[in-house]
Amino acid sequence: MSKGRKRLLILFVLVSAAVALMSYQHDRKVFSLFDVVISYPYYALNEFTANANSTIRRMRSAFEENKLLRKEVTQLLLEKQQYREIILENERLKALLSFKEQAPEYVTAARVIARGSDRLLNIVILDKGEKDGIEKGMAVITPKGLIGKVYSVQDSFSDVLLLKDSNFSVAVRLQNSRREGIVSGAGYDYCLLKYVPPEENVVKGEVVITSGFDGIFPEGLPVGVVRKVIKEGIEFFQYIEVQPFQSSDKLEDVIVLKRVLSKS
Amino acid sequence: MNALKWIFLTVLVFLLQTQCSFFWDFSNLTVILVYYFGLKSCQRNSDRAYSGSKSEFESVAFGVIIGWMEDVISGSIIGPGLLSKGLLGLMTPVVFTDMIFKWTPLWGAIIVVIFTLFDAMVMVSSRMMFTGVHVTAAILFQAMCVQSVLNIPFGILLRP
Repeated sequence: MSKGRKRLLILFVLVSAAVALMSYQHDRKVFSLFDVVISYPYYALNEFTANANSTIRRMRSAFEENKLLRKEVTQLLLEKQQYREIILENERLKALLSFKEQAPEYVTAARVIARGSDRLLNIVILDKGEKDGIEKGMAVITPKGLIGKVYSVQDSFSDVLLLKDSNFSVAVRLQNSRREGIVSGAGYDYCLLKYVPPEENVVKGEVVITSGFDGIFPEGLPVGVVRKVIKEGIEFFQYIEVQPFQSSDKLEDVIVLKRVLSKS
Repeated sequence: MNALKWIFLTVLVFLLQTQCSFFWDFSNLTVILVYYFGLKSCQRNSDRAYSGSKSEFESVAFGVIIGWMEDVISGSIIGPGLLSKGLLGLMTPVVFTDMIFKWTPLWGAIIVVIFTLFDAMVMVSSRMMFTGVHVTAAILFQAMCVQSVLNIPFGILLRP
């Protein structure tokens, strides 16, 4: 059989089979078994892909939602942190305000804005200066206790020499024994109480306050607490370490006080 | 291995065509599948020095199966897809052995456009004749043109 005839035969068979099939189905549905055989795997596969598609969509939606919620949580945490800062600032300002009402030597309240750049001195910088009434030598405190004294003053800024600096000294008194001495900075986070003779009984935990005899600091300001006393192996005076009430690493708002006239 | 490849391609084409609305609305991948099978069958049988009728028979059989599946899935009568795809299966080897002789991307694109239009015409006319479905000429023309144009890249890319 020639190629052309073969093709015609295929064409004829194909067309007549298709037409016969369609004509037969014109009124009734046939081949339900074949339908099931073909359509069942197809519908099963279709259902599977539809489910997979739906799962992927849900996952994508959940992922987006998760991203949004994370963003919201971060924002809320930031807000919470801001509110906490505001509350803490409010507490500090309240304490400063009550101190202002009680202390007649009050000059101004100031904010610590930086640490000093001089490596030899432990200094902090306040955001207020001469035009706010601050003068050199004035005492600087917080409601917790003494911090230091004004070391130098500019128009709008002032430097404060901290209690822990070895160049700093203040006349003090032990609150219980009423023994007087001088507290000097040691260069560390504690100070040294000097000039207390060995026969004096100084106990650990005793509170140290200013005596006012130096003509700089008002009397009765809390300075710190005795944390270590050594009587053995000394020459003339006891070795006493004092832990300041106010850590110089946590300074934010401070109060500047006027100098007092010397009592001595 | 070759059979597995064609099974995989068939499943993929039906999934794409039924799951992706883009292919469903604008493309006719089953035409491409039958055309590609015919092209490959033609090439394979000419390499083995078989007669042209073997490849024609193979691609007609493949086209009939694809058309039959399409009819079953469409839920309408069995026949229009079977007839159109069977005819495409017959025409592909005929075109490439007796009319064009050498495949080029341009010929591929032209043949695919003609086949897509032919398939749509056979399908629609069979459905109209045997099920009483009426389709307006404008919609039919639009759908056929869009499908033909979107099938052109396949005609260019699918080589024997």
